[in-house]
Amino acid sequence: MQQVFGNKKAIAVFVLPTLILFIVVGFLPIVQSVYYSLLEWDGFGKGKFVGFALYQDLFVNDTYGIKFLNSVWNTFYLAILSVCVQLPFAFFLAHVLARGIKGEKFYRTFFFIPVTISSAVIGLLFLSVLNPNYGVLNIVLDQLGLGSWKHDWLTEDKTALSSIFLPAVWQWVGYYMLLMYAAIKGISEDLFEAAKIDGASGWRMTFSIVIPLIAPIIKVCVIFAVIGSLKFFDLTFIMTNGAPQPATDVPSTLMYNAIFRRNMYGYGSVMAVFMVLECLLVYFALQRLFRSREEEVAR
Amino acid sequence: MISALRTKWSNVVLQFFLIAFAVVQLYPLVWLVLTSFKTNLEITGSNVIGLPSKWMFENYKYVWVGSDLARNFANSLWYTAITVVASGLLASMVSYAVTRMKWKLSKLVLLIIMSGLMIPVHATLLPLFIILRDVHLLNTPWALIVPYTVNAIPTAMFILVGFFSALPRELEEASVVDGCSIYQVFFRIMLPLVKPALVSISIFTFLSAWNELMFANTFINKSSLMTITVAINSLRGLHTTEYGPIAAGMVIATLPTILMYIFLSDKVQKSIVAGAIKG
Amino acid sequence: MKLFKKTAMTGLAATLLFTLAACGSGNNNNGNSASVQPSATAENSAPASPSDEKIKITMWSQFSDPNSKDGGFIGFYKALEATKAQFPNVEIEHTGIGGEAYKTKIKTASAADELPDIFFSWGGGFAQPFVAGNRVLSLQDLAQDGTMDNLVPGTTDNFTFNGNLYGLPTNISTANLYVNTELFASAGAKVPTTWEELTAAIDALKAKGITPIALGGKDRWPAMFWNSILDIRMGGTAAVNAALTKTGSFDTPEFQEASRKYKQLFDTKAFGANPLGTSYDDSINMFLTGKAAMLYMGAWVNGQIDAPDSQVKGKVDVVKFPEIAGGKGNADEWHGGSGESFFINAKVANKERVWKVYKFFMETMAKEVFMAGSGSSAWKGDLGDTSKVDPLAIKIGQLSSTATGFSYWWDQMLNGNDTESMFASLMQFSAGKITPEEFNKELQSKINPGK
Repeated sequence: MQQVFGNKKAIAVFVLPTLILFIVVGFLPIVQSVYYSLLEWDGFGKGKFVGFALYQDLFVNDTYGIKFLNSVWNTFYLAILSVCVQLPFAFFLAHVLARGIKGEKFYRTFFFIPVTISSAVIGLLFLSVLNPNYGVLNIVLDQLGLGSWKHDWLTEDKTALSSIFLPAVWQWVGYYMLLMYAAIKGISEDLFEAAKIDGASGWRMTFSIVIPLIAPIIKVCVIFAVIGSLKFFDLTFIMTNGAPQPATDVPSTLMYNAIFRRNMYGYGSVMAVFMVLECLLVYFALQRLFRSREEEVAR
Repeated sequence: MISALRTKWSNVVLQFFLIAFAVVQLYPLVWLVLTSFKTNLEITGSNVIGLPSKWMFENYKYVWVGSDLARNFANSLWYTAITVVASGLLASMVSYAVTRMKWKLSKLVLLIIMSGLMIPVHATLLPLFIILRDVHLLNTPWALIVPYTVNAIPTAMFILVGFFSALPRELEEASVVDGCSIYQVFFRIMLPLVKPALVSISIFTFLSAWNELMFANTFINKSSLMTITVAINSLRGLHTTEYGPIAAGMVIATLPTILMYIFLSDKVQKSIVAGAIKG
Repeated sequence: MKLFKKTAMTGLAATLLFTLAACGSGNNNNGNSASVQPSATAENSAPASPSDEKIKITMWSQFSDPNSKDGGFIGFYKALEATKAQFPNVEIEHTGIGGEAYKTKIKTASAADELPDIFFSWGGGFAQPFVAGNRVLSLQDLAQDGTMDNLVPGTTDNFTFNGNLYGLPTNISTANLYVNTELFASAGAKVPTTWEELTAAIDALKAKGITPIALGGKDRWPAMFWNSILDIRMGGTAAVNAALTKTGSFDTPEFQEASRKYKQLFDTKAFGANPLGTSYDDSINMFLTGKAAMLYMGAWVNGQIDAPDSQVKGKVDVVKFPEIAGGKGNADEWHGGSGESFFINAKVANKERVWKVYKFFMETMAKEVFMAGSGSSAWKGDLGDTSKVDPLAIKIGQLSSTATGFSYWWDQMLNGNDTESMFASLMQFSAGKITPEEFNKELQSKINPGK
C-alpha cells in the first residue's frame, strides 16, 4: 500500500509538468513583480534601484494622495458581503436544487446565466440601471412615491461602493451555487434515508449531514470568495474606476492605474506584492480557522 | 395532514420565489439581446430598457460583414478548448498527488501553485510578455493557451483538492489490494469520482479563457490569430462608440458559453456517482 | 539588497534558459523589425524608394474598426490604402486595438522594447517617456527635407522634445461650442459671445425646462474641457501652457477666477441635475436628442450631429467660446491643437524608406480626416474639392483660421501621473468638496511641487 501511494516516479509524473509550467509562467512573474517593486521605474527607460522606498511612500508618506489602505478596507467590505450574503444564498439555492425540486434543470440553467455573461456587459447593464437621469432604479423609486430615496448612485460617496459591490455579489451567486450543488449531489441518498427514518427534520439534515459533508467545498468557496474580493477589479474598473475618489478605489484598480496610467511601474508593483502577501496571509488565517473548526467537530 | 398542507404551501412559496429569481437571472441576457437591436441613441439614454423602436438587424450585419468574426470565433473556440482540457488534466493529476499520495514536499507544491490565486493578473502582463518573447511564443496561439492554462490551474486545483479529500480512502485501498497500479487507481477509480467537479471546473475555465481580453490584446498582433473578445473590443471608437454592434458581438460571443453550460451542467448531473461521499 | 536583485535575475535567466531548451529556439523576429526581404521579382514601381527591395512595415494604431463611421477612422483607412497603393514594394501590416487596451499594449511592448515600426500615439506628456526611454526615432534631421515648410506653424509643438521633432502632425482638433439654435429660439435666448450672454442664455433655457449644457462629467475629460477653456479665457493660452509645462503657476488670480466661474456653472445647474453621473455618451445623447442646448466638444461629434438620421441635423451652429470681460484671453484663443501622431520605432531598419512612407501617410491622413469632417489639416496646401465636407467642419476651420493661440488637452499635455492627480482634484472640485482656491493650490502643489 505504502509503496503504491509513495511511488516517487508516479508523483513526478503527476506533479512535475504542472509545477515546471507553473513556476515559469505563474510564479516567475511574481518574483519579477517583487524585483520591480524595488525600482523607481516608469516602464520605459532604465529603472533606479530604491530598495523599500516605494513601500514606505505608499503606506506612510502617500505622496500622490492615493490612500491605498482605504482601498484595502473597501475590498474587506466586499469580502464580508460575499461571505455573509452571497455564499449563504448560493448554498440555499444549491441545497434546494440538489435535493430535488420540480424544475431543477431549468433553475440550474437560469441561475447560472449572469456568470456566463462577461463582466463588461454586466457593468454596462448596471451603469444604465443606476444612471441618475434615466436609470430604472430611480424611475421605479419615483413611481413608488419614494422620490426622496433617489440618488446619483455611482457619484455619491455613501452609495457608490455598495452600488458596485451588490452587482458583483449578485453576478457570482451562480458560480458558488454550482460548486455546492455538485458537492451536495455527491452525498449518498442512503444517508438522507437513514436520517429520515431516525425522524430528523429538514433543518436537522441540512446542519448535521449536508454542511459537515460538503465542508471541504464550503471552505473552497469561502477562500475563493474572500481572495476574489481582495483582488476585485472588473466591475469597479468598468463602472467608476475609483470615483468619487477614493470611495470606490480597490487595490487592483489602483495598481492598474499606477502601472498603465501613472507610468509608475515600481509603485504599482508594490501594490501587487502587497496584494500577494495580503492574500497569502488571509489564506493561512482562513485555513487555520477551518482547521480549528474541523478539530472541534472531530471532538 | 396539517404538516402535509404546510409543506405544500411552503413549496408554492418556494417555487414562486425561484421563478422570480430565475427571471432576475435571465434579465441581463434579455437586456443584452434587446440592446443588440437598438440604435446608439436608444442605448445611451433614449430607450434603455424597452423594446427597440425599430429592430436594427444592421448591428449584426455590421459585426459580421466585412469583419473576420467567424475566424476570431473559431480561434477563441480552439484556444479555449485546449485550455480546458490541459488545465483539467494537469490540475487533477497534481491535486491527486497532493491529497492522496504520501510525499514530503506535497504541502510546498500546493502552496506554490496556490500562490497563483493570489497574484493580481495585471501585474503579470509585462513579466509574461517578456517570458513569452524570450521563448518565442509571442504572436502564436500558445501565447494565450499557456497563460490561460496556468491561470486556470490554481482555481481548478483548489476545487479538486476539496473534492479529492472528501472521497473515502477505502475505495482506493480496495483497488490497490485488487492489484491496480497507481495510474489505474487515478484514471479508472478516482477521476470518474470527481467528474462532477471536473465538469464544473471546465465550465469556469471555459468562461475565464473565453472572456479574457487583456492578454489577447497584448500578446497577439496577427489579425488572423485574434480572439473574439479582441474583435469586439476593436469596435470601440476613439471618442464615440457604437454600442449596438458591440452588443451584437457580445450576443454572438455569449450564446456558446450558455449552450456550453447547459450541455456541461447536464453532464454534472449525469456524472454524479451516487454515494460518492459517504459519512 | 543587491544580492537579492542578483539572485532574482539569475533565477530568471536559469528558467528562461530551461524553457528555451524546452521549446527549441525558433528564431522568429515577431515581425517587430522591418526585416529586409530581397524580392525575387525586381519591380520598379515605388517612386520614392531608393531601392526596390520589398520591405515590411509593422504598424499599430487605435483605429481598430475598418467599418467605423468616425471621421478619424475613415481618414486613417483611406490614408492606409492610399499609402499601400503608392508604395507597392512596401508591405504594411496594421494591427488595430480598440480603446484603453491600446495604451496598455503599447506601454507593455515599449517596456519590453518590442514596439512595431510605426505606432499611433499622443503627444505631450504621454509621449515624453517614450522619448526619454529612447524608444522613438528623432525626425529632426529627416524633416529638414522641406517637410517642415508644409506644416501649419505650431502643430509640431506637442511632438517636439528638447528641440527634437519625433512625430509629424495630422490634424488640428479644437473644442468648439455647439449650440442648438432651435432650442435657443424657443427659449428666446441669444447665442452667447460674452460670459454675461452665456449666463443669461443659461437662465432662459432653464426657465423653459431645457438643460442648458450637456456635460459628461463621469468620464472626467469633458469636465476638464470646461475647466481648461475657462482658464484660457481668464488667463490666456500662454499662461495655461506655462502652467502645464511647469514654467508657470496654476495658482494665479486669473485661474482662481476661472475656477469660481466653473463652480458657478455647477451651482446654477447649468450642466443639468447630475452632471457627474452623466457619461460622455449620455451627454452626447442629450445634445443629439434636443434635451440639452449647448455642448462644448471636439469636432469628432460633427459626424453624429449631421448624420442622416440625426434629430438635430441643420439645427446646430458652432461658435467661438464666449469672451470673459476682464480675462486675459480673447475669443481667438482655442482649446485644442495638434496632439495625435504616429511615431517611428528608434530601432527601425530602412530609416530613409520608412520615413518616405510615413511622411506620405501622415499628409494623406491629415487631408482625409479633414475630408471626413473631423478636424482641420495640419498640413498646408490645396485640399481639393471640399464641397462634400461637413458644413460644421468647414465653419470650425474658418473660425479657427484666425486663432492666435492654442492650448491642448491637459490629460495629454501632462504626464500620466500628473494627469491622474489633476483629474482627482478636478473631480473633488466639481463635486463641491474643495473650494476654487483650494483646487488651484492643489493643482499647483501636485503638478508643479515646490514652485
